[in-house]
Amino acid sequence: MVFRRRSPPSGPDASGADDPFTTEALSYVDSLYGTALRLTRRAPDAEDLVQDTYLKAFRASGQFQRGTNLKAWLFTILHNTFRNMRRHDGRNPIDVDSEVVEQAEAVGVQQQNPEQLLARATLDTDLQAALDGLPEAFRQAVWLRDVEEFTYAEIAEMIGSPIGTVMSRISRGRRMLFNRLSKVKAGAA
Amino acid sequence: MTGTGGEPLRSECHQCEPLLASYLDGEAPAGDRARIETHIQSCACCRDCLARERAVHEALRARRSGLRTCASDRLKARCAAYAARTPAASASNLSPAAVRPSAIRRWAPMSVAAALVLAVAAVFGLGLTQPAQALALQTTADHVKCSRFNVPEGAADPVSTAQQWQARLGWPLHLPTSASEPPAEPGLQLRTVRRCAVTDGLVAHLLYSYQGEPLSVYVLPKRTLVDEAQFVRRFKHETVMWSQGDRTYIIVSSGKRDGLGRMIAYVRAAAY
Repeated sequence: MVFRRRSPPSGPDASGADDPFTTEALSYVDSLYGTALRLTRRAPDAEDLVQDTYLKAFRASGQFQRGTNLKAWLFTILHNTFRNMRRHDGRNPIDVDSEVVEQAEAVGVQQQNPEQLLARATLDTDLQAALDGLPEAFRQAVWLRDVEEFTYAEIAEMIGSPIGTVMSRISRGRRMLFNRLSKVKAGAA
Repeated sequence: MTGTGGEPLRSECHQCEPLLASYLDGEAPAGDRARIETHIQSCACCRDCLARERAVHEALRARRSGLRTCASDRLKARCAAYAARTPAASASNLSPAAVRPSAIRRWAPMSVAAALVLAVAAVFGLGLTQPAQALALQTTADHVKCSRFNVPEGAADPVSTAQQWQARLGWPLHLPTSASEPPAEPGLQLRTVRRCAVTDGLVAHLLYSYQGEPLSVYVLPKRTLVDEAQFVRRFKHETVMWSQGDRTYIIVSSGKRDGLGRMIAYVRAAAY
């Protein structure tokens, strides 16, 4: 997805309040906050991240190409801002060998019909905890696909990775999530 | 990658496995889809992998609304305020650090702590219980501190200052301009607007220079007092306060009560 600068004026007007761009952009605040919370895992950091995202978005509204996906554009800003935050904080995600994690988590998983296993009263809190326990790259990819319903191409643009990497992370992330949820179920049984 | 039984995957599985997600999500090209469908018919391991991915995918989709956490009304208001504020903010001489929203939150605990100290002093240290007296004490202490340390050189621009305020706090502050009502008060110059915490909540602290002396106007976005102006003298400072409409105003001056008369009329007319 390419966001090209358009000839002015294409951003919000001086008041901004009734501008379609502004109205649509603000309609995604819950989605952005939910995603920011999954990324940062701390509510104050998530609020900062969303505020910074909107500040940048409104300032750069002239760069948004009308007719393209505004939600995806905002999420791209959110992810770029998050990466910068992490860089400045000196906290970088630890690279995880997903195959090792996946194998380790698969140990002890019961042989059951997968649909039946998860369909039986999996709690939102279990899902939330299992998601938050995933390594960042996988958590991000699975959330963007399965909760926010972005396409692979949109996710690739947001996180700055090839589509093949996105596909692999979604796939492995889902399996890791399954293994974690299966263990929760086994523990509760 | 191993199968669920621990046996190594065949080369066909290695080719198929990375494509399972795209197959499930409907993003695989037609050729790949046909290949995957043929393979999973004969491979229990990949069929099981696909079933696990599908189970998670469907569980997440089904619980989507429960998993999402809504933004607070405060956050929504702040984000909405950026839309109105941004064009003016970029044209103003504010540094990026000055408008960085997250900086607000970093300073908030200090303001709250200062307010708590003042509140404790008001209630326990001096035995004050009346809202007006507590407000007078807190604002006078803040005025003394700010007039010594926080008065910038030169006048503040009321338009951009009001825009910044709304963007940061989410409620409007109507600062009079030279072209608006009430007419400019001789010798009155707005120097800065800062946020201040008192026991009644966050207030706007408008720091003025008035006839060469510092003067503060505090605006609280709710009614806490009566309409009639109340005067309190503390620490050689004169404080006058009242509620008007849905706001409460407090003026603190080191000048005499006579000097406050015109300022009361000015603030009542401005209605910030």
